[in-house]
Amino acid sequence: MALEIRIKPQHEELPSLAQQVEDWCSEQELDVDDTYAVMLAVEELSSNTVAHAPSTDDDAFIRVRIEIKSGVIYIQYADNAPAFNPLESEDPDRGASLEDWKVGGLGLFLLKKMLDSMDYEYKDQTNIISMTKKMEA
Amino acid sequence: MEIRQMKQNDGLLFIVKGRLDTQTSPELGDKVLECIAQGNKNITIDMAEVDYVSSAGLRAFLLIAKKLNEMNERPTILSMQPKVQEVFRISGFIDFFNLQ
Repeated sequence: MALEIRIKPQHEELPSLAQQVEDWCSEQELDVDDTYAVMLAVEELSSNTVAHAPSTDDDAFIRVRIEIKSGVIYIQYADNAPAFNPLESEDPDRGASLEDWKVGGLGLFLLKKMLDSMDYEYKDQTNIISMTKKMEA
Repeated sequence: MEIRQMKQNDGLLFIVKGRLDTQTSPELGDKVLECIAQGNKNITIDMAEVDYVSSAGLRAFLLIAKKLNEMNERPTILSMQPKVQEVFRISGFIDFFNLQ
């Protein structure tokens, strides 16, 4: 069964979002790797939204939809924050020595590495990020 | 997330339990950085009971490693779970820690 959650883009909403996603992964009996990837996708994107575009407007939203079809996990993340394409974000600046390391951009970098696909579209004033991950055998 | 802190030989041991995510990671970062600021250079973090680290958690670890690196020291991480270790490896800064 698909999971659908809609929250306001505010920090205090994030723990409950994470908990509902974790509970769903557990109900679906996802293994450690798949659960980690799903949790990470939802956390990294939702924390980006509330960091850059928190809002208490009545019509402001973050929407998460997750479902499993034929052994593939489909995660769709949407918000109506200003248009932002996470696929165009730069990978973290990783210097040869530790002093040169920057801490920004790590979350999206991790997602690109841990998911099988990540697509972005901006439609009807909504950012829509569609991700897939093949389930571990 | 829970953090227990104790003295260990001439250093400090932090035993962390739970999830290191956007909500919880700043607490770990602040706590360890404060101890470093007080002059503790020998820092060990036990991760046996940490099953999830997001980029916010990695950021906390990076700040700790950077601060210790200024004093030519490295943090030690104990008993990292395989999945968490994979995330550290993907991020590329696993080499800045002593793993045990």
